[in-house]
Amino acid sequence: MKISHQWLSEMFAEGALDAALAAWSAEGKGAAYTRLLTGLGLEVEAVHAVGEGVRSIVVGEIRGKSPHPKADKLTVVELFDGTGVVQVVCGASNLPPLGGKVAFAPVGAVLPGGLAIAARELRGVPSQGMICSETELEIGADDSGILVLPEDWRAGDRLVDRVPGIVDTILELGVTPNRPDALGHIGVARDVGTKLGIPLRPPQVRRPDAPNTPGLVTIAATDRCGRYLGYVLEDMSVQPSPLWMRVRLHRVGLRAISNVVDVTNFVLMECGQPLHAFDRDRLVEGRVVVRRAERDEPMTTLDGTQKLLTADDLVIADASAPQALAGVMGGAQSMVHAGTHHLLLEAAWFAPPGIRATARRHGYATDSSYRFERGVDHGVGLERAALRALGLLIELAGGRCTAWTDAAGERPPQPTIALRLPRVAALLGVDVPVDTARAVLTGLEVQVREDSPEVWTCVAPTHRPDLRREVDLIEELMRFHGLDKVPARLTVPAEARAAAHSDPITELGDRLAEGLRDAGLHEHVAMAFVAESKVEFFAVPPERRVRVENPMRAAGVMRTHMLPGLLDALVHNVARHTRPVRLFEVGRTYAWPERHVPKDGPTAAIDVLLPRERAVAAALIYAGARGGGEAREITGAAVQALARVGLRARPIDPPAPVAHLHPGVQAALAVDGTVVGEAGEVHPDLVRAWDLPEGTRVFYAEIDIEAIPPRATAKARDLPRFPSTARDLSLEIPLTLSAARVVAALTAAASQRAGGKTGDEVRLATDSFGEPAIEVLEDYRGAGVPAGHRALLLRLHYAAEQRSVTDDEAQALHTSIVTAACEALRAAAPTVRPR
Amino acid sequence: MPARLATQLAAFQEALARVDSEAALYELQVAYLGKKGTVTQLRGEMGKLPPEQRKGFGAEWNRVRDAIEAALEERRTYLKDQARRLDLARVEDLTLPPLRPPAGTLHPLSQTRRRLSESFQRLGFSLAVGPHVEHSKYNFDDLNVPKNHPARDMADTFFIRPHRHPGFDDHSDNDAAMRLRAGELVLRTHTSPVQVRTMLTQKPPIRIVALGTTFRCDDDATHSPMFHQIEGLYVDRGVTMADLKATLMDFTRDFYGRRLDVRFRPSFFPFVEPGAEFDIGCPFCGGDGCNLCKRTGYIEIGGCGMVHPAVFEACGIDPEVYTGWAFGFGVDRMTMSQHAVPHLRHMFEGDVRFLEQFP
Repeated sequence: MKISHQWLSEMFAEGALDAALAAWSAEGKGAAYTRLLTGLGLEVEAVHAVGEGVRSIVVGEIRGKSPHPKADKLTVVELFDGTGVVQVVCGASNLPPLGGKVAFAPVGAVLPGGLAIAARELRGVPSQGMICSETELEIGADDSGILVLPEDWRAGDRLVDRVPGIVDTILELGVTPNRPDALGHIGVARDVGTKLGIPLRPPQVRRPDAPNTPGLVTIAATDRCGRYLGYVLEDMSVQPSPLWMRVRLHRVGLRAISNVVDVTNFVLMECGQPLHAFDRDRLVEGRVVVRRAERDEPMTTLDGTQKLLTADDLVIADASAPQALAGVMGGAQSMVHAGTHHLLLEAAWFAPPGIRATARRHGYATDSSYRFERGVDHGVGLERAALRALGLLIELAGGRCTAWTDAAGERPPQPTIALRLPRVAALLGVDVPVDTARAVLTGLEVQVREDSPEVWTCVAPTHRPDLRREVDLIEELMRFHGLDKVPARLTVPAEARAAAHSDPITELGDRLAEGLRDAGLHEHVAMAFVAESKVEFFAVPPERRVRVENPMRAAGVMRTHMLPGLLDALVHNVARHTRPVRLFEVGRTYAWPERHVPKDGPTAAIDVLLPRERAVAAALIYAGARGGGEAREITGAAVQALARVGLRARPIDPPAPVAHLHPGVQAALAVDGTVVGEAGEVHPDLVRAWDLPEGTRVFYAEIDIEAIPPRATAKARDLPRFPSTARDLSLEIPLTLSAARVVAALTAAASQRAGGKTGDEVRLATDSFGEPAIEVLEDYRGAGVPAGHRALLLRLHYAAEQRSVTDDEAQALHTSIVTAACEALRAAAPTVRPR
Repeated sequence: MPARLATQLAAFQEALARVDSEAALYELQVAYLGKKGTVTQLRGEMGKLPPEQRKGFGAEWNRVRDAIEAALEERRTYLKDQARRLDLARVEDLTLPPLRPPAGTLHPLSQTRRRLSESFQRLGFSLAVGPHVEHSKYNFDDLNVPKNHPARDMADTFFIRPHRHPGFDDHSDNDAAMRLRAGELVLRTHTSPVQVRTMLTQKPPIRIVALGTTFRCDDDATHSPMFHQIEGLYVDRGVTMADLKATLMDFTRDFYGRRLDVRFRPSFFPFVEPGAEFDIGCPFCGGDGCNLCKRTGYIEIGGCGMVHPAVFEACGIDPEVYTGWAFGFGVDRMTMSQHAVPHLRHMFEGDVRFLEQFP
């Protein structure tokens, strides 16, 4: 929202604003406004000093015109600048006839854009200055020719004297959605005046002498239109606006069009009230009806687009068809045009939610809908805006008002608010003096009845729809008293506070992240949404994917797995360097539950509607362009991560193979028999789908954080007093038989066997964690092992409790265990044999 | 000296000169002075001498033994010194690259999040979490942002397509799911729904921070469609905005290591009233003015205010009994300024050359 200082000044007695502002602060206008308005919650985003370069521009009178001898498009102009005649070469095609007036920049002038005017020759003809266009003076958007000034202006007059306020300070305000009143100069002036203690004195308006004619306006949808003021203007002429009006609109970012349209825009910016002018001759029966549209009723808006309306859209119709999309945009049929003579001027209040719904439904965002959906004034301000426009229209376009009416619908109630003054300190921790409170509320035009020193009964003004409850008034008091006056004071001293706690899943995720970091991986943060094509390889079927209705970057599905994000990052890295890529991410995956899962607690009714979000830690390892790297690094990283939360995980045969991992290179991660994750080599189809070089080996692991069992406090076991004896075993097994299964078979066989003397038998020893002491030493594939097989070298430790064991008894037990285990394994893998 | 003793002594001295290790020295000692050592044996021969010679021989023998022992000791000391000197002459270049597992790192966002979370836990705030896919009731309605209110424009919202659980039409909860209309499920646009969930679940006093991923349809050089927020909420009897200011100042002391000024500017967030933006004294220059604070001495952090009574009412908390405040700010921008990250895109690309910079 652009606010002009000159315009604000006109909302007060002459000179009052400049004087008050200077008295408030000596820091200069821009800085003073910034501090003042930002302190009031109207953030000043930028300040522009404009028009300084116009000071040297004077009115020039054309005394002679002759064609340039060497250039068809140039004219040599004899120009009277009030003191003498100078020769100027001009390239414009719209030079007025002799006696016409133009904007002249004499030699020595510096234009607003920085151009310094000097005497020069244009193709051999000397030129003493320049005749300027609007754009060169930065006072308008018309660059089609020079600026032609009214003929009755006197040559030599300075433009700044002819167009008061052309030198200005423009403030760009960030207006929050609760402050529709600040979308016009009056509203901003009201805040400024209240803060500086100067009374608001906006331009005078007066009611027309015409008869109230109720037939002009009918409000059928009274719930959607609270008030509709209509004025008939006759015998007016549509023309360009005078320069002051055009400059004023340009300063606040609007384009001048014609006097009628310009006046409605001017009032929009002054009062924050959108107005609409209909060409009354084009309204059937010359009257309007505010009603809901018929379903699929057609209408062409003034930007030329055709719309099919819905029964929820509010329209301003004439006796036959919609003529405007109420509060959003006018219709093409009755729009003001060059030949318009009679107007129906609209000033109305429409219910905000309906305007917003219509604007969104039809894809409009106009200055009008922007204000209506925030809530414009439905009280005195509405009529004031209409009368201001009426006055300006009569002044600029001639004509007279012959009829008017004020139709009523349901206006929003003006809430009566009990303001308990002690509540201010209870909420803010600081008192606002009673005098300040009184002055602020009065300045804002809140009606106050001081029922008691503690309780004031207040009625909010119609231009402040945001003032609805006591806190809203407290905020107003604080805004003006100064939020910077809030002290820093704790309610409860630090030592009296209850202890804080963390969130268990977050805590686990953080620890896993530390474990993965310690395993040499870098943490990545990927977008939670991905393209549909990236989740197609994964086990979550399309109907369970959580989809974004309005995606960006074509990422329309919430990720069902972490792998796509890590693969994307891998691709990014591989395209840029040849180093190893070791990444992890701790985050969430999303899927609709397979079946209905009941929820409990106070939020259950909402929670059952939501998809399931799983907390996952995922790791990816790629050895780099030079190759190498072992699949077991990924299980190592995962096991290390789980060690960080105090758990001993081990890879086991996957209970069900995972589709996105290589079928022959994957394992499940188990903690005490509970599967908490998976690890393996990324499926070659995925490597291909991500356009990684053929044969790239990428390893991946993920841990389902919510599946991690609680950690038990470790209990010490007594240390063995007698040494154990080891026996090695080399076992020839098929490639597909896992070490985990071999160890399990040996453990099972050992659990049923013991040897040596009764009472203290020799047994398979246990390690520090109480697990069977079986080490897997080597996985040999090569000479001496048949095709499809490998040799697994294991070491088994044997011990007794109260004595050393003899070689003989250890060997006897070992042989018995190996024999039994091999027999058991052969049930599934007949070729297993000791070597 | 008897000739045989002299011969042995001379032989010993000759052998000793050749000894270059403690083990060899021990062998030499055994050879001469051991149980069956040559010098030890000579002593046994003393009995065969006539008595008048015995005394003299004995004295000579003792002298030879002492001499040998002294020489052995001297040699031992010498050899030890020699060995120590050799050991000390060893050189190993420990400025060569250290041997260690490859270094991993935590993402700078994670590091900031953890530091924030730890700071606020020390200030007595418990960590609260909530879903990323949220119902608009918690993301908007209960936060005093009604449907068709322009305040919804403050955050460009990602909407989630409603889902109908297959085959559970008979279940009453599923009726609600079936009634779910477009626009009701969203990706949370802020962490504030966690406030609502906490207030619905817990009775005051409530003192929480919610820290997590948030989403808005915004994608340019300074906005990512996915970003991170932290939000604090304190509800109890007698909580004031002065308490908010003091708490934020305490936070700066914990987080930045020195207590920085906190400045409120009035603003609007639908779920607080009065609402404010808050700035803190620039942690980089301490308020003197630098490039990072654009010479203002302050940096803009986020929004805050007193919990709106309408939010309390939506959550079943009586605003006449309890008051509360809330604040929130973005974690990404804070992280970027802390680490001088030049481009937002670096944060989410996963380039290891970027990530490894944050040990």
